[in-house]
Amino acid sequence: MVDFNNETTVSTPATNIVKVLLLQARAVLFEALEQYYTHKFNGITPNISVARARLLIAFLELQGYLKRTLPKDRAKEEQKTYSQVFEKLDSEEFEEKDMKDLVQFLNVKLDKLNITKIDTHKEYDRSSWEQDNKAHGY
Amino acid sequence: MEENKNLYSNGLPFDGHLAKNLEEQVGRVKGKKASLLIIDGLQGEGKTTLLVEIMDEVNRIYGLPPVKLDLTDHPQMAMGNKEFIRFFRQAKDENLVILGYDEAMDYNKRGSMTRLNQILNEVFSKFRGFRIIIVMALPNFCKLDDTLFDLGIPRGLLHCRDRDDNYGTFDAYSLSGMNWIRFWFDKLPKGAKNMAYGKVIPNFRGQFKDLEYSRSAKLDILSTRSKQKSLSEAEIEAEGLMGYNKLATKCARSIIWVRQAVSKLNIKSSRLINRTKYFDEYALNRLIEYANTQKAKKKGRKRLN
Repeated sequence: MVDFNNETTVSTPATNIVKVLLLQARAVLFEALEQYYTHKFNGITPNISVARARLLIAFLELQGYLKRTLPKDRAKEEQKTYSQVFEKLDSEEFEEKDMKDLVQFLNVKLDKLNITKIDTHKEYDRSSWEQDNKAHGY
Repeated sequence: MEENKNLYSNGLPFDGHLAKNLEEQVGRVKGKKASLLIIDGLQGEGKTTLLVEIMDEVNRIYGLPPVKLDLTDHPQMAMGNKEFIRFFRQAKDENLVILGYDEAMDYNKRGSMTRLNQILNEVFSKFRGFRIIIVMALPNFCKLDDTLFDLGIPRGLLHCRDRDDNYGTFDAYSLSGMNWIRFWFDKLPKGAKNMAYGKVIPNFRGQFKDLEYSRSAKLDILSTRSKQKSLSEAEIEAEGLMGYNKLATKCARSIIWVRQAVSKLNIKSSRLINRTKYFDEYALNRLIEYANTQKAKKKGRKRLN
């Protein structure tokens, strides 16, 4: 008899595991950001380094994921964007504003990859009859 | 360079969205899939004009000349179901890529059991093998036979509306949109049925210009001629008149026999429409009587009267 309670019985796709890892990286980043802002609002000089390090790790994780999942030409384009991101994260003049911009960028990326998106309906060009017919199963 | 009043800046008489969709349909047909497009709209909204423009564009994609609109030679422009079936058969031999079916209202739900509609159903369910795009123009697509939609054959609808002196407007719907319009068409009360189009968001909207003057005039003549023909057919039907063919079927005799009998009995035709003689029921009765007399004579029996 198959034991469905045993975790080894049902395998999980590798991409799903990476998605969970990305979500975890995002969660710890938000934790660090929460601490940063709590300190700031309490009047204590906040330290941005923890959040900055976690953001860097989240981007590294995402970069690896994209390299594996995207087609080669698109992966190259993405690589250029990420080198700019890492440059910004490594710079000495890194400020709270840069942090906010990069977190926003990360959020948009994760949303586009359907990782944080709640509504997962198909995206297609509605002005094309054939794409619309295909989306509706005709 | 002088600007062509009948074309937009993209070099076409309609907008780019429609052109892109037509290219997709060409790709679909090349992949041996059926493609039927429908143009509908009330009278004078430019259905036939748009039909010709679409056919011209598809011909252009294949490197073929524009559609012929002569009264005697219009192999891509079928007016009515009889012409459509004939042209469809010829289309394969003439390597045509697109066929227009104007005045398609005769292919409707009410006549779904007629022989002609059954032939049309057969055509539509098997035409994918011919690698030909069919474009149908009629006042209201909701009246079309359900079988078409059950088989998923129509791929797009262009609903023509609000035409003015300079251009016409159309709303384009996919098959899913069409099915929703049909749903609302059935639900809405009489007199408000045309509001069904407004209940579904079109996939895109567009505009189209008129054909160049010389072609527009030719199309007018062709279209009017077809309408006159269907009017005279309706007139014949309403008055209960019969031609030689019908008389022959009713008498169960050959057409030659009917012609000879009419001449022998000196029966006068009731009407002469387009140089064709039409007879009334009195003529039919006389012919049946004559046929019975001949039968009795052959068998050697006595005449009854």
